Amino acid sequence: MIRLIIKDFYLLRGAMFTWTVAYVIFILINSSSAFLGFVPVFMVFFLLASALALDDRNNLEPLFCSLPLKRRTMVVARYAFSFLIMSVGLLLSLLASHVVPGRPLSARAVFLTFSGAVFFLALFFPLNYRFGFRLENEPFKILGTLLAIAAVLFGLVTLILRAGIDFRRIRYLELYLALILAGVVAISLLLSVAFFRRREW
Amino acid sequence: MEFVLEVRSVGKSYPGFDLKDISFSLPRGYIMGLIGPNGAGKTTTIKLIMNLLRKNSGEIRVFGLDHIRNEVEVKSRIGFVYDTPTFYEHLNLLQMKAIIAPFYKTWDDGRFQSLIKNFDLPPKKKIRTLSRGMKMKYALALALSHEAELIIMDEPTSGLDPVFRRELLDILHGLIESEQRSVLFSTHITSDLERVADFITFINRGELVFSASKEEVLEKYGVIRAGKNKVSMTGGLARHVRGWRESEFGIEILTNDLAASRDILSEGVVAERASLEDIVFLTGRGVKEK
Repeated sequence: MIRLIIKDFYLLRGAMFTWTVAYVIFILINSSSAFLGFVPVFMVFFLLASALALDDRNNLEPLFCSLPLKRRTMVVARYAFSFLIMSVGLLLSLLASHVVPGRPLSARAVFLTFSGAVFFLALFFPLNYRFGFRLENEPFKILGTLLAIAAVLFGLVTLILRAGIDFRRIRYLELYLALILAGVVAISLLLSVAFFRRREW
Repeated sequence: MEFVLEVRSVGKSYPGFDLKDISFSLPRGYIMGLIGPNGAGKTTTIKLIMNLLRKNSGEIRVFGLDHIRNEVEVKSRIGFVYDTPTFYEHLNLLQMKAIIAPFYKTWDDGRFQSLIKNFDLPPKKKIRTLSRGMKMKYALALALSHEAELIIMDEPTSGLDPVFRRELLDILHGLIESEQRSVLFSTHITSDLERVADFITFINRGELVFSASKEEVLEKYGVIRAGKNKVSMTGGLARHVRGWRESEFGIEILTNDLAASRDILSEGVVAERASLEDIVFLTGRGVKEK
């Protein structure tokens, strides 16, 4: 599995370098906490889409399925790759927010951002392994709609937050959220593995 | 005899196409050609062996192991070459090798370098700039660099010019010299098989026609050539007829028992050994006209 993750890092090294340079420049220009939280999430989606598109464009899934690898390993590696990029990105954001002058990013904000992105990935991966990664595919159009709905919900949540509901008062929020997320990711992983095992080329 | 590959009663259904009850075995140290017209089921059979397609019925054992339950072990001992090899096109040959090699415990980099040199491949050239023949050679170099015991190739010679084709067939022939390696390759070019194959498995319209040694096939099958109305296909001969073609000049009949057919035929009717091309062509015709 580690070899598959290294492979993705190797293939996307150029894109990652560009992102890092751009990120540093943007931090120097705009170090708002919203921006610092948003960039790593956007980065993971961009890099993941690049990795999937690269495999799809070169028709490489059958090649990897003919190597001595279990399909389950291939799926788990993609999940791990995504979570790894996002974790590193958010950690860097957390550090940057304390180094660069501006409003520091709280650990809770980082966790909530991470949770949102994980939830989206948990939705995206089973669709990808069921239908393949093609943006013109119907499921991805549906996913786009879901994303739009999520953006609206995000806006509503922001309004609620502005209205003064203090989430810090909800005890064990992180714990509840972590448990729900773990369940969602587990189901998503099982579905992805089951779909990918059935894929034929 | 030790078999590296055993395919038993394998079936696969698609909308509009059925692969039915395919069975054959490949002994260690031999080359088997999988032959049949386009759309016969050759690629489907190979994909079923590689578990790129899921079979509906039957059993496939590679090196005596179930090919799904022992997928990782089985695939680590197979070198697989697609009809259209696919790679990350923006990488060069060494970069792509660096991605593939770590997945094989038995990867031999010295062997890879020597194969690249022998095949005249430019290691620093981007894959997208290679011709189809060069890509095929590169895929073969990758497949041969991890001490694979079974090489499976899907239509490796189709679309290649005659020089490359000949070269590739010589490479295949050289592979089995150690008697430890076996090769299964599909083709619809019969002359390729006549040159290198020890065993031939013929699939037509999703059904197995025969799987036997090349000598046995060429010994048994024959073509009867006669003028119109000179041969009756009823009676004893009918049992052996596998296909025929009628033209304004006469009739060509494919028989699967040349010796027995000769005994039945009347004087003046010629029966001679069939080439693989005759067998493939006339079997196809026979099925169509039934």
